[in-house]
Amino acid sequence: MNDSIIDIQSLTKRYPGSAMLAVDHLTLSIKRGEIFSLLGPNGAGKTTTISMLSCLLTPTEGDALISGHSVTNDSLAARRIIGIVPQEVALYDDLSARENLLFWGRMYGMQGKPLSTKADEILERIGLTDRAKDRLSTFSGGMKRRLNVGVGLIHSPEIVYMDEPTVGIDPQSRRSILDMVKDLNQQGMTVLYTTHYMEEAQELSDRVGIMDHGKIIALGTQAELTEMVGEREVLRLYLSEIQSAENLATLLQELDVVFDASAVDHQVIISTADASEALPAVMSAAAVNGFTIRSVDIQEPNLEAVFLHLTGRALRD
Amino acid sequence: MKILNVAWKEILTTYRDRAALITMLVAPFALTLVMLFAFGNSGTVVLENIPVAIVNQDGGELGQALVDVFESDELADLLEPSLVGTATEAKALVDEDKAAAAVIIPAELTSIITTGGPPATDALATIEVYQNPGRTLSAQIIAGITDQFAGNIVAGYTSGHLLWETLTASGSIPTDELQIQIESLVNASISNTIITVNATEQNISQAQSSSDFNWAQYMGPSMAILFLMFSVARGGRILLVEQDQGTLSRMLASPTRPSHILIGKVLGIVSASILQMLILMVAMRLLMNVSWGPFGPVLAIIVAVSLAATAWGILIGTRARTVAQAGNLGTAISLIFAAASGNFYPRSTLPEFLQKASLISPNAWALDAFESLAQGGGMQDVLIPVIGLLVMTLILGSIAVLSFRRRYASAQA
Amino acid sequence: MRKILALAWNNIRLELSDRSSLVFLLILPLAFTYIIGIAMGGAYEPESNASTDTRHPVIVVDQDASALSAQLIAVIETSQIIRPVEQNLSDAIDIFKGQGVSAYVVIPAGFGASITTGQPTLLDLVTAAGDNYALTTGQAVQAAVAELNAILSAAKTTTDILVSLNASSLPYDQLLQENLQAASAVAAEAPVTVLHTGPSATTSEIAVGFAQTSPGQLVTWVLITLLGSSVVIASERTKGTLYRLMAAPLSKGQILAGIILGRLALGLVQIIILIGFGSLVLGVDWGSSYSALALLSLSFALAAVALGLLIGVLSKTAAQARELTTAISMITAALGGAWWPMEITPQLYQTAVKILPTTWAMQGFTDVILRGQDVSGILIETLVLLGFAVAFFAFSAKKFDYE
Repeated sequence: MNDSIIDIQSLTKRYPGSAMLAVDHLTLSIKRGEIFSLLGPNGAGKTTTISMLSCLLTPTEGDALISGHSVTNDSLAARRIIGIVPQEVALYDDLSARENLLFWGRMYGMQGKPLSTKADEILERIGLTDRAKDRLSTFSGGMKRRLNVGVGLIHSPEIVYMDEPTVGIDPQSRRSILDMVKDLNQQGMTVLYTTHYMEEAQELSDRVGIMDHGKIIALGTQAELTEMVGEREVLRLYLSEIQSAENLATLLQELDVVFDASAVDHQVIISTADASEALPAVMSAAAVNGFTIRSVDIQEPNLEAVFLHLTGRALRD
Repeated sequence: MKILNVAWKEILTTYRDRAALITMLVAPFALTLVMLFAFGNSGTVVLENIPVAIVNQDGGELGQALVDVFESDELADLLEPSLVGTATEAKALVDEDKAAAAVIIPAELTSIITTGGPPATDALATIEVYQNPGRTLSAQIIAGITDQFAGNIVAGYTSGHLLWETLTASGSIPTDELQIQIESLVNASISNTIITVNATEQNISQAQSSSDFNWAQYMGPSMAILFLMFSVARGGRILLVEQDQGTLSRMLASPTRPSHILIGKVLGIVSASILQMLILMVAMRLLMNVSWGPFGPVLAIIVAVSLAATAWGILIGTRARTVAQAGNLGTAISLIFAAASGNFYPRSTLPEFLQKASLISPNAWALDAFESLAQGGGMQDVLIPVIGLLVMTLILGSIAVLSFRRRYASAQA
Repeated sequence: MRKILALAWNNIRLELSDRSSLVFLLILPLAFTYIIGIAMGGAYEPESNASTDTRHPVIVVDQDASALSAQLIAVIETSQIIRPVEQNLSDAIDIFKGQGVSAYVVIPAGFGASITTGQPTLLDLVTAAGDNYALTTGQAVQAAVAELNAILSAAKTTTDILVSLNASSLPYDQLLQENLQAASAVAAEAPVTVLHTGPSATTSEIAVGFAQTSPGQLVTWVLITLLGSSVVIASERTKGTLYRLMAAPLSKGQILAGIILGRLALGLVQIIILIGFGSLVLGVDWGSSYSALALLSLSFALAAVALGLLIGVLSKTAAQARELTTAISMITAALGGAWWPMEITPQLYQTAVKILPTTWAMQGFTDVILRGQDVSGILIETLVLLGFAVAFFAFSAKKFDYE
């Protein structure tokens, strides 16, 4: 065939009783050997997509081929190719790290020496060799996360799905997971990564699909995507906690120098042609209306700006 | 106010859990209904229509007489006799649990008994009672009836032969005359009762006679108490759930004293328990017309048993390390208490050592109290059990508070 | 298949990794079988070898200590239903009130003397109200007394006639004594006896209480273990491991089979241990047909595990599943006849509870254990239980999902 490992054809999911399509005629192909990120806010349909690609959820319409195996008709073969890393840690607390790896290996039909060698190799890779025999219940959250990833790799899948693997994790474990993803990719593994952290998508991905309301609204390499927003830069204003970022965003939207303004938590994110030029106008407008800006970031064109540009909304952190 | 806040949250979370509601309210209610169905309102075991298979291989009068006994009007309610052709068939009925016993009357029964004449034969007529070991009560009743019948035959035989032997030996009555007289002599003999059995029935536990015992009035609260223990054990578990969720440390971090948190929790569990008992009481009254007894004493017992049960629950919660452990421990203790204190039978029918040993459980004291009420007792009869429950609450409560303090002292500092 | 076994083994390990689960698997069932067996069988065992004598003990208070009172006790001893145990009056009352016996008999002083002088005499029999065995034991005492009565009145009638005919030179007392001995001899050789038998050849050796409680407790506790499959399903689901399993190259059927197999293994091991304890320690005869016992255990276990799956797919959390499991296993076991003999319930009730698998299991177990049935005798029970298993399984397989 071609060099794509996943071919998604008009994949659609409607949950019973819901008027909206959770995934809306998604067509996409993921190339062998790339890191592909699905970026989007919570509820965009990322997890539903991953679940369908994992053969866990039957599509309402459409199909996807994993290395040529349909997720609807040939799911057993498709599942052998996939390694999954669920959003929440899905492991047995009462087993040791090594026992968990061995158990899941057997579930993928592995056994004996190859399995045990592979388990040790993964323990080494996720840095848990010295804790291999300890029960999971004694592990920190970050260690469990690392093992959660490790278990997804036990059967040397051709492609691994990682569904927001870094949510609620300490910086050190996050770093090690991101490094592992890159490392794996270097060894030829394809990675499908979902996240709502823009930085992760930027750091890891060869290509990014931006998802919103069940649709891919933009697709391409990071460079291609940022090109969409042209020379735009992002200005990020940090407000004190007592002030309403929403009000300020509405206010700043009126300024000529501002293309888009959107509020997230106590921040206002603004896209503009030239950040340093727009800054004085923004600051004075804020000051006149009684807003106190605590600090300001100027960012190069990035995916955040793309999302803001496409949806008029900010990606949540 | 903070205490009440904690307590209110406790009640709210309890009554929002659907599975908990099943154990708290639906199960005891349903079980009471079924128990009453199974044992009737009186609670005394009434055996009726015991199926018995009879094989009469004897053509004579004695065999028929035994059949007549089983088919008599006096036993019509108790027994459901059926005549079967062969012993094999009859035993098969017992083996298949279709009969409680098979009575097999041998062919030679009548012929072997000769009231007159010398006891010439060494032969033996054996009536077999083939009993169903799965229905021991019923089977033994049938065996008893057969024994009595055989006893009568033996009595006649004994008189007849003794008279015959002795009188013919003495030679004072001519044999042909004796032949005529012997029957009336035997009849006179067997109707002569020398030992009379003065049989009395005694209610062991209380002075009142058993007919005063209101089974339904006892079974209703008994089922409620059984499941009260389950729901309270659940309450104790919540302490650990909160610990896992982190809400406990959040509470301890708030400017609230640990003892107040514990009191609030206890108050919540106790109120939820009392509420559970009251709902069941009212529901059984309205829907099943089962009364638990006069309101005053019932309320006293409800409050006391809720307190004592809660103390157990909290104790389990403060002693167990994990939620699963608390769950297992709570279930185990609830089960042991239920079985040992006799939630399924009137307590007075349990062996004495079990009655005493089970006083460690709230079930036992409360059941004692409800048993008194079911026998027509009043407030003065439930006073001791109520005090017993309160003392239990104090002792267990103190232990629980100590363990709670020790465990969470660091959190406060 | 290898995957199913790995899954089953994993479930067993997870269950056993919690030490407190051993309490449910072994300690509680063994303790309960023992305690309830004692409670049902009567706690009062005056002699160490009494456990082999399954006749109900009846206390006899012999205040007369005469030849005739001894004869009465000897007659009671020949009963197939009761056995006499001699005690003084105050001990007798204590034991009776402690529910050690269902009845006691008092032979008053002067009993023998008044019989010898031809006076009617009175014997006190006290039975416990509401006691299950009061009727039977009372009946048996009456039967023994009747037997003695027959001997006495035969002797007395004979003596009276001899005296009235002046046929003997002996004094009345001596003549009566002679005739009593003669009457006893005649009665002992009476050509009519009643033989109490039962299905299994070893009936008389069954410890009555334990034979009833052993299968009942087995059904109750094994049910708790087997319904535990509900907790497995619910916790695999909440932990997210079910999601992961379903994403692995396994069919739903394989996952369910693994869960069932793991539970089944635990339950069957428990059954073997409980049967072993019952037969080795408590002396319960589990019948002669091991194949029937095995078949029945297996079909009961399957039905119970499948019911557990059903509870598991219907409950939201593991704690909820655990709660439902305990409640349901206790209730269905009790209603199905595991806690009290079915014979004491009304016909309508016995018919109604046929909708419970436990009823059929208990029926099957008593068929095998008490009535000595073989495979052909429990075929219906086995088929019904398997039917339950299929129905529960089909329903839960349909509802089985990772969220």
